[in-house]
Amino acid sequence: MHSFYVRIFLMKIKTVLRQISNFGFGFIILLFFYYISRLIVQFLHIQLPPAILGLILFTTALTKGIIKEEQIKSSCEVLINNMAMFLVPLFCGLMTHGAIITKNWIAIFVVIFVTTTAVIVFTGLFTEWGIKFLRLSKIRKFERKEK
Amino acid sequence: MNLFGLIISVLYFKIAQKTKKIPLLSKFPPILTAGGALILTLVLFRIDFSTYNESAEYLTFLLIPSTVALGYPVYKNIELLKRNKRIIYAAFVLASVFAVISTYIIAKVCNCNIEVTESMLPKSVTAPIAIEISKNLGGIPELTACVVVLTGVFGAMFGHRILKLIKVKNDIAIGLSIGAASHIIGTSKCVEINKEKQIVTSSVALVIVGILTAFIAPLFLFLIKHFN
Repeated sequence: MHSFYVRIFLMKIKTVLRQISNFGFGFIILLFFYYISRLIVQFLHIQLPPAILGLILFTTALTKGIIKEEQIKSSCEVLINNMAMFLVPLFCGLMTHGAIITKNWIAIFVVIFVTTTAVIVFTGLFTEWGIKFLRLSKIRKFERKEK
Repeated sequence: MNLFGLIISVLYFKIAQKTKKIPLLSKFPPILTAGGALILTLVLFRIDFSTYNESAEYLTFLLIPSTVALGYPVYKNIELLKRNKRIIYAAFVLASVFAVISTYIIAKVCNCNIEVTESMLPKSVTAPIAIEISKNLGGIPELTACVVVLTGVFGAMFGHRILKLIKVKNDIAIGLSIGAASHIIGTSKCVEINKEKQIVTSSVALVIVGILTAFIAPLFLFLIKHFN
């Protein structure tokens, strides 16, 4: 009886360890892409944030099958789900820039309200009409073939 | 080692996530409530920001791998990009160009100085990417983080209502415009409504628009400086 519980306990530890090692491996892959792209950016003197070049390289590596989905799945999900938490210290950093914000806060709010509304309206209408137009043209092509 | 900053940030964030039952606080995402409470605490107890940031820096560092990790949702939904190719790519490009130009014009109209304008240019991009872009442009990353979060909150609160008003009904169009304008916080609203197509388009849009803005924003600033 005793050994049964011990075995269950060991199995649980094993799965936890496997999850941790899985996460760690994915995390190392992600950092690897970041440092590689930092080297590339330094070497070629491009005006591009290295993390974004890393993101592009990572996506192409995934789609080309160089990295497998299982290798990075857990770490990606954990990082994306907790992204808001990583922002907290930066958000607090606002207190060191108090002067700029008290000077410009009306402008900042106006910019946020107006441009966000504008982008939502513009993109929404463009895509809606574009999809409708494409569908119509496809139907017309089909009708022409029927004739 | 001084772990105070790290522990207090995680603790406040976890508490803020649990306050969804309080009616007034539930309207705001946890980052706003946690950040506000933390600033208040630091000011009240007269703790210097640099002592707080000694260990809280590690949390900020994690933004870098999470930027790279954003490639995963794109890979998972790559079918969508292949299906409605032309219109979706055109919408991505137009949305990012339009966002950058309109932000610049309105910031100029409101008489912002160049530093504030530069930090606001990538405002409709998801936070980690926006911070990288803002650093690259010479803006203030802290201000960018705040503006990005506020944009997301605005989009999440009013995005679906605005789209209903102008009678946009296609799920792809809704997801695309919400993802392009108010990034991950807007996407979380799509998750709340639970429409599969909206979630997928919105999560792809927020990444691709982010990447495009990283190219477009410096180019735009360069052109403006060149012609002035």
